[in-house]
Amino acid sequence: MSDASAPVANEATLTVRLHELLGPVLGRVVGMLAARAQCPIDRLDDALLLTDAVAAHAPAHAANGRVTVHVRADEEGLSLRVGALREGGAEELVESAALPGVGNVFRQVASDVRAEGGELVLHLAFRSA
Amino acid sequence: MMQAEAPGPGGPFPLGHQEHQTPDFELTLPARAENVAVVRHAFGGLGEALAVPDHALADVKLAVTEACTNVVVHAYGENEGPMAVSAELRDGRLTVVVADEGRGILPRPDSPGLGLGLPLIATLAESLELGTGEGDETEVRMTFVLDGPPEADAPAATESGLA
Repeated sequence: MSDASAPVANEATLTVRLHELLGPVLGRVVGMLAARAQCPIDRLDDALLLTDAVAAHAPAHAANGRVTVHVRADEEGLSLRVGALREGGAEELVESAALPGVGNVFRQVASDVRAEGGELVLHLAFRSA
Repeated sequence: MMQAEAPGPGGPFPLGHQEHQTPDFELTLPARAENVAVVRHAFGGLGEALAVPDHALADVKLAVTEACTNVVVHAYGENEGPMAVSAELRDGRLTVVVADEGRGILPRPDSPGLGLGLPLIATLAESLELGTGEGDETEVRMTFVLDGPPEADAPAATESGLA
């Protein structure tokens, strides 16, 4: 079943129905997985900014009242896959994370922001290319 | 206070009688030792969000840690597999289910542990059930009273601040 030569996946999947749990629980999970992946401290701050934005806005765009976030971290970066979002929800979620004078949090902070089906995928590279 | 229900001689029993509801949160990770700490930390977040009293949260975290450690040590042997932890809050009671898709909770003559994990959980929780879920996965189901006093013989229950 396991392959000793395969890289160990540093990942977790969190599904939340009680939306007030999303921020506190997701922040801790992301923080631990990112730290384990040797995330630089400035990027850890960015990772938690993304997490807070997801927690604040994703529930309003969820397809079924639940928000699922798949978190994966490796030495290259951190990925958050947020779903299941209603039709057009991924784009709306991105747009809702705009702050006056700051701009869009997802686009400003993440290295890659894209909608894939009913999910929003965010990638944060730990180091500049 | 303790109402532990241990599996009979035939092994774990199905928990199909449980009313199926979507849990308030579910966290699924590879069943590895380092992820036990992630689960424990996640419950710290749950405690913060729901204003769970410190003494109750400490019991929950300790019991969940024991249950997850059991999964890591016993469920998959040398193989990899998932560990799923879910929690649901109803009427001041927190029900936590730790599930795996491994060999289940069976006696192991080569067990590296002292066998204290489940008795400890049973002591900390109001109730403990061992069994199998709808998908035949092994489940440890624990229920905790969150708004009770720190000690069983305390004179009166305190307000927990739970909605």
